Formats: sequence, structure tokens, C-alpha cells
Amino acid sequence: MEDWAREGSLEELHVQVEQLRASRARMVAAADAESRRIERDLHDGVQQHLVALAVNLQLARQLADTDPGEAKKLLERIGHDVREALEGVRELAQSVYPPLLLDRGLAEALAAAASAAGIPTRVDATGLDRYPPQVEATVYFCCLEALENAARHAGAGARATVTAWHEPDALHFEVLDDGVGFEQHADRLGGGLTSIGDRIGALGGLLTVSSRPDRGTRVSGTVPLAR
Amino acid sequence: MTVRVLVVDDQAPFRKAARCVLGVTDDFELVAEASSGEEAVVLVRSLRPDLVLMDITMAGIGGIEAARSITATHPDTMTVLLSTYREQDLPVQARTCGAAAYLHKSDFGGPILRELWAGRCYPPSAR
Repeated sequence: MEDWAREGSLEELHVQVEQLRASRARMVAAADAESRRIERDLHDGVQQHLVALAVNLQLARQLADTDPGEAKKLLERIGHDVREALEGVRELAQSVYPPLLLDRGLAEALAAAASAAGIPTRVDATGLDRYPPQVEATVYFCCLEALENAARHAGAGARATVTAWHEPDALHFEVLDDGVGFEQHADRLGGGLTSIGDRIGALGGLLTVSSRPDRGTRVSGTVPLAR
Repeated sequence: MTVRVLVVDDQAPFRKAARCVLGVTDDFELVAEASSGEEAVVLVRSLRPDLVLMDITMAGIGGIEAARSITATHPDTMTVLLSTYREQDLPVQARTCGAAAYLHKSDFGGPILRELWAGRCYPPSAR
């Protein structure tokens, strides 16, 4: 190999190593941020409901002697608060790892996510099978992030489509919206999309984002399947 | 004498529960609620409550700094810190900010409030 060609390869390798380092650092930061989010959600959500329940139960016990009618009303409110706390736990568990994804796989989990998305969404994921948990989770959370972005930025009246299919050696997905799109800067993906790209990259896959003003946005990815 | 109470917490469920407790506890009266330390400092200045129930973890200056400011400028106002922390997990400043007592939120209720006010000291569980 000529010296100039060797130098070019080394330079390229150096860039790739730097990109990998940056990606690993972002993934560690993302995992820490996720832990903090869960801690915050537990503290600000479920824990506060439980604390209020403990206080109100003590109060109900006190009122049972002095004012049974008021105690009964308070117990009814406590019942309502318990249901709210349960809903908080369900939402938190869902955000950590959707039970439907664990039990029923990607196709059903994507359909459920689409029905709750803030943008009308059609899902075509027929023909999907079960895959390793890390592959299913990566594709699921990537599609979810792309749908959340679409709901936030595509604009009024926009619609989205989620398509997922597999080939013998890879799982593919695409989230497409017909919204307002954006001017693309190759080196400036949003935090969420960068995180998606890192996650897919860690599995040896690839993420592509393409968009143009008034031409919608397409987020697509491929995750290799070990054979 | 009715003890005039300011409840400070950024969490609505606890403020609501505290409101209920104070509503049925003789000789205690809720005068205002605040959802931040900054708001509490301003309200103490204008309302001069006898007792401030102050959550520790809030955005902004937080409960400990707010307690420090209140106890420095209004020494007659008793400040009680509250949180869901175990006592051993409390920041050191919780003991040095001038607050009269610390109370775990789940222990909050009429009887402990009376005990605190009467004794003006740490409740047994927080000693």
C-alpha cells in the first residue's frame, strides 16, 4: 500500500475510534439519565401518592372515633387515590419495559404504541416473529422515539406509518410521517435520534433519518440478526 | 391560641393531605400553601405564620435553604422539615439550617403536630 493510502486509512480508523468512544460515552450518559428519570418518577409519582395515603389513613383512623361520616368520605377518597397510585405504577412499568413487548412481541407492542401516539398512525408489522430481547427493545424504543418526534413536530393533520419487516439476516423498520419536515443538517440530529442511532449502532445496525421542509420525515433502521 | 401554619411542598398530593389533616386538627389553621422555597420566604414575610411545614426536595433554593432564610429572619416562626428520606439519608445541612425538627412525611398527622408544637423539639422517631 502506498504511504498516502496507508495514512488515509489510519486517519479514517482514528475517526471511527473517536466516533465509537463518543457513542459509548453517550450511551453511558443516556443510561444514567434513564436511571435518574426512573428515580424522579418514583419519587414524584408513586412515593408521593403513598405518602399521602399513609397520612390520610392515619387521619381516617382518627376520624373513625370522632366523626364516622367524615371518615367514610375520606376512605372513599383514599380508594380513589389508591387507583391513581396504581395507574402511576403501571405507567412507570410501561415506560421502563412494556409488558406487551415482553409477552407478545414487537408487532403487538408497536400496534399498542401507535394507538396511544399523539399522531394518527398505521402499523404494518405483519410477518414479524420473536427476536432476542435487546433487538425487540431497540426497534420498539426507536419507533416510539420517532413517533413521539412526529407527534411533536410534524404539525397539525399529519399522519404516520410504522412498518417493520424481517429478512433472514436483519430486522428492518421505518417510521414515516407526512408532516412539515425540517431542513436537515447531517451533523445535527436531535438528542433522541442520536440516542436511537447509538443504540442501533451498539447492535451493529444502522439508522437513517431523512427529511425536507414540507416533505415529511423518514426514520429507518436495520438491526442485524445473528444466525 | 390557634397555630397558623404554612405548608410548603411542590407535591400536590402531600399539600392536599396536609390540608385535610390541618382541617380537622383543633387549634391548627392552614394560612397558606406554597410550592417552592422562594414562594415560602415571601409568604412568611407577609403572613408571619407560627409554623412552617417545609418539604426538603424542591426545585430552586429547596427546603433547607428556605428554612435557613426563614429561621434567620423570623426566629419566632417554627420550621419543621419534611421529606420521604430516612433520617440517616438527610443532607447534613438539614440539622444546621435552623429547623426545629425533622418529620418523615408518612408520620405526619394531628397528634405528632401537637407533640411537636408543645415540645418544640425533634419527634422521638427523628432523634
